[in-house]
Amino acid sequence: MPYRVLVVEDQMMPKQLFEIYIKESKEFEFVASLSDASLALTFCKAQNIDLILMDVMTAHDSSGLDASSEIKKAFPNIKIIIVTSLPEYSWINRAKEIGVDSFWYKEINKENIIEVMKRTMNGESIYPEETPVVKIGSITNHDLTDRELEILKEMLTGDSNAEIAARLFISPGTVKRHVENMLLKTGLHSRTELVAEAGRVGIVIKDM
Amino acid sequence: MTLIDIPYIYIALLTFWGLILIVLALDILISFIRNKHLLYSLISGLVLVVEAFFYFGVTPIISGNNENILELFKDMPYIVYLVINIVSTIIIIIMFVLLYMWDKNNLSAFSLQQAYDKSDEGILYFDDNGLCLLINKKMHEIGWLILGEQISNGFDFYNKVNNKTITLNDGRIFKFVSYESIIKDINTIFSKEKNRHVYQLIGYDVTELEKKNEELRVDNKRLEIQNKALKEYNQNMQHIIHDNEILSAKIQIHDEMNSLILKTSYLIDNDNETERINILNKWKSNIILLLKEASEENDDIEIINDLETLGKAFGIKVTINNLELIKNEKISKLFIQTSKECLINVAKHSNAKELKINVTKENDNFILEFINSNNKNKKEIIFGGGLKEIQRQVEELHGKISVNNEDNFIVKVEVSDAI
Repeated sequence: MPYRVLVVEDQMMPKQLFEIYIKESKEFEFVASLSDASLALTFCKAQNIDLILMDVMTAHDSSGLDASSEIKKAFPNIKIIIVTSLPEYSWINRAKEIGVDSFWYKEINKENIIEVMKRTMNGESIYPEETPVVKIGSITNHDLTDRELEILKEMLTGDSNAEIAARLFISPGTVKRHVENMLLKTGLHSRTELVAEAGRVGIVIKDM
Repeated sequence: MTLIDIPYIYIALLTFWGLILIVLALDILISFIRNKHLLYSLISGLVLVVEAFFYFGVTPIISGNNENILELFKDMPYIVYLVINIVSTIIIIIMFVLLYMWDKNNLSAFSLQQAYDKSDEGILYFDDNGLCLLINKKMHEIGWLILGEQISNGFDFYNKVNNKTITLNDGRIFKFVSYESIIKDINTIFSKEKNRHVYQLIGYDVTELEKKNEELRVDNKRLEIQNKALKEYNQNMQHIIHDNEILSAKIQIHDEMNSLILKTSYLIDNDNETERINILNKWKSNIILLLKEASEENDDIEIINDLETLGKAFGIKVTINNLELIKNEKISKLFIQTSKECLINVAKHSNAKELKINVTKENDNFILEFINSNNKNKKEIIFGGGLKEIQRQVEELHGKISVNNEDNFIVKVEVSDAI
């Protein structure tokens, strides 16, 4: 009996692609697609679903990771594969914490999605070893430490060093030092340029 | 030998010694009176009186004026005056030592004044009547610069400057704070009041601090502007990410098309029915995708599709009218969440097969009506669970939510577009 799949993806093109791939596959049955992740749990209450392909950034700022967390609590047997093209640094760890079964980068992974789906349903947990490499200034995202990325993400809010420090339970001086280090590493000229570039390449994205 | 019998030089020496003792006793007496020390003042006073008595009594002997010499002194052995002087000297020495030790272990008003004069802050103490009890040099200076004259009444000056930050004519900035306390007077023996209500006014030089604060204000303003721009940029970034994802998908489809073209050209020369059907299906899918690529994405269509999909999952037909009226993102979200809750309620509490959702707009107010025509619940509605959460979200947007279950079961949400 084919596995029943729900696709949660707000972009028409990827959504249609997934639908096509699933319909072409004998192991899977396409049930429905939703654009807004906040409706996914309710859908799972109404229909039997075996597997969800879940985008992270969905319609109306609904977070696929938040929805996955809710679904895993209510339906631990439903397998979830996070599907994204963005190299955001924190999503892989967050997905692991939630208990998401697999994580797939749309353009980067050599395996196609159907293979990942099959392996996931067979009990494997497929996660990339690291985020995709993207350039930021004169370095890549892998040259930044976790703490630096954490601070860079907070800087997206536009808050001051003091406000960021209070949220992360460190001193404003430490925040300042990390920012200076990042500017030195990347060769970028200002805090604003650093944040703009990081947002542009997608290594940090504001939480929804 | 009496005082009259001893040589002149000895009398002169004794009286000179006595005179010195008088001066010293007077000095000590004044010091102890100033410090309000009664006992030592009495002792010093006694020494002073005794020495003065002897001095004025013996001096006529020196001048040779025997008529003015008191009888007492005519027959007095010189040894008495000598002993008196020796004892007085010892007492004076002890008094000096006591005075020195007392000064060392106690604060006098003078020492307080000296200490306060060294301070960079302006300090003023005054009592309930405004009488200035202590005012240091700095406060004198500040007082002159502010009032144009010296501070005569502490209360008047306090009312003028208390809790204020004042810029003086010379550009310095002072911040004034005050404190009140009940203090014991330094020496209650000479004061009728045991306790005194005293005010303390301090003027802090905050010139440098104000300069830094001003620089900080300018920097913060600049940062605020930058941060606002950053937030707006971040908003735009979400759209750019969205567009990038679409672009990636398009690239993938076009790559697939390229591969299909090659496979098709191969099939023309090689007859394989299964492969032919496969390729044709792929062509069909890609053409559909390309057609969708050409059409614009529409948020409203997405919402309608989602709700219809959700409704179908519950076996309920969802009909939405005039969704295009909603342009406000917050109201969009509210609309979706309310629709979801109403669908769940319809599925749980009635056998309805349809949920109608109407959107109307009157002036700047939206009215969203969620209508379930198969109303089985005629009792009073108590908001709980999902509807309670919707109520919270509506009230957060300063809107209203009501339920009417007289005929149909209608959930009505009213919210302003101006949020």
